[in-house]
Amino acid sequence: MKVIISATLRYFFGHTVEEEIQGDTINEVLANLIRKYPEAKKGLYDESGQLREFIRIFLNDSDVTEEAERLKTRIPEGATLQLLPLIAGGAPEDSLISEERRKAVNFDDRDIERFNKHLLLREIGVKGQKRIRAAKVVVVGAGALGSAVIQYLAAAGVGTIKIIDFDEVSVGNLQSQVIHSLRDVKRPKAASAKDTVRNIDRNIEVIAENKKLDAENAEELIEGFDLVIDCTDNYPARYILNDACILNGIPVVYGAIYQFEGIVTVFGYRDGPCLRCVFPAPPSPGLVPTCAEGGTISPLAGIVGSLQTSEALKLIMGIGEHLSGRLLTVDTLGLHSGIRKIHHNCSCPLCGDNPVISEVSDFDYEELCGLKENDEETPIEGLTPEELAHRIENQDPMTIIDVREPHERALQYFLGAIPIPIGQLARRKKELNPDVDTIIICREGKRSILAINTLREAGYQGPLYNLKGGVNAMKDIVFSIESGRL
Amino acid sequence: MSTIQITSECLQRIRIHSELMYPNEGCGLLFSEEQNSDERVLLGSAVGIINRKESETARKAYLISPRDLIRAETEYRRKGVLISGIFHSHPDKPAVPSEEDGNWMIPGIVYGILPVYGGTAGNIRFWMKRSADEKPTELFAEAQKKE
Repeated sequence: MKVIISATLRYFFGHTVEEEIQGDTINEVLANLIRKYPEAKKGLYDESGQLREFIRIFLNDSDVTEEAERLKTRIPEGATLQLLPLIAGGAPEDSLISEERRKAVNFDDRDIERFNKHLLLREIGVKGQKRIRAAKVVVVGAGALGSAVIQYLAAAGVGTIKIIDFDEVSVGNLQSQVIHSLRDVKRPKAASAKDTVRNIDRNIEVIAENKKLDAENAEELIEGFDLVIDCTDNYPARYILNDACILNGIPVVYGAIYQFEGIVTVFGYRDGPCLRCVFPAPPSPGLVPTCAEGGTISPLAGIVGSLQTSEALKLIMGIGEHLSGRLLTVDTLGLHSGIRKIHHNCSCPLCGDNPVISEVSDFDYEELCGLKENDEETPIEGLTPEELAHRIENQDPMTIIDVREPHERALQYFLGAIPIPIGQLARRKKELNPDVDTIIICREGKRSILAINTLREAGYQGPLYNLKGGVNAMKDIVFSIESGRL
Repeated sequence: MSTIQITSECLQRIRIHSELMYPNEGCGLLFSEEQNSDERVLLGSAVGIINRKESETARKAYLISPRDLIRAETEYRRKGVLISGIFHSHPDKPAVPSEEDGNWMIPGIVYGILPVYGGTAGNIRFWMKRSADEKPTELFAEAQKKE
């Protein structure tokens, strides 16, 4: 009999369209067809020998795909058998919230009034709003990014919000951390943020965790939650959080800000990349100042935090495009923004093909960056603030090199120090006098270690000292000339 | 086969059909005029086919009935073009294959997915399953350069 094979199935049959195949029943014809095209067996049948779901068989004009039909139907003279696919599919249901959880949510009139603007949106509607209510989100960091994220999550109606922060509110925080106010100064940030959420919506369950996220508690803190929003400001926390989330299958909405620029992305969502895929190791401590050291323009955290919340809500509802596998960058000074692709790394130690990280561990940040002082290396000699002050008072011959950023120097001027950025040190080592002591200073005494290592690697032979604790530690030193002035 | 080339005419047809079908899923066939090499498929035209899902589910799913496919195949074989792929739209959803899409995918056939947000088409992405038991992988697509 004549068998016509759909062009869409041609990859199974070597591009043949029509065949003359013998057989009394349809199953016999199929068996003979497979004998002729052994390759097609895998295409037509699954491992258990069942005809694949998308295959349809028509005898003349009637559907004979059913097993019973294929067994018993006698093939009339001159009939044509057609092999066709059923072409079908469904839209992705990408919501992080299961249907059962969504259906368990009930809204009253007040909810409908409150979320009216969401309900008006066809993409959100009651369904989406119920998903938002059912969602459980962890926000790590109630600082600048956290301020925007927590307040918008609360305003949008997220049912359960956990806020993790170990810090206290200080006056310097109020410039960008708009969730706290003057009366919150010296209060734990987590508690202050919780109060703000309670003032927005009493129905929200807020959990304030006044503790530092570390390798020991990370997994416990995020357990049972649907989504984590990373609003931290330091690399150790980011890596610990990333590891904990990936190992527990919880996606992370990542945001970071520096000066005028910010980035947003989604890690650990479906097959998307994680932080380690994109940034296998953090930069050396001190090389990249944190927000606290580098400064940021006040509304930047609002912009990036709002984008993070928007991503979070879309993931919760399963609508729109999202930033998994894509990194959004914003530069508010030069007014540039863009999206670049980031890829899942097959050799990622955490989520690659052969992962080596199987538990969250406190990684030694300095070791990871290759900064850890090694016993075999020449130890770095340090001066305490008092020792340095004493030398300055005595007017000992020495060179003081300040490796801080210009804005940091402007904030805390160090009299008599030569400013040389770390990147220029090796090149400008001739400016140092190897016959006298050279003291390297920075803000906290970490970058200065890096600077000394850099100089030694560059072959500088003179004596080098690190100011322990940096300029910060010099704050309490009062020089005799200063006290004399008073 | 790793690269898709698509003519602006073909793309235009997909967009128009999908936008017209919004908020339902639109679907149809993609054709190439010549036998393609393993590295490259040139999609030259497209035709919309009726989505046979019931009206309630048509927003989230599509179905091309085998009978419609036979009719289209017979007609286009006569015109000398080859069915190389299938397209469908995702109203207000990203252009990634859903689990169901993946289950129904015919290996070796190119699947174009066009997101349509609020009635306006976004960027089409192409996917293919190399064998029945594999996950769909994304194909690199480029607009055919005008000569």
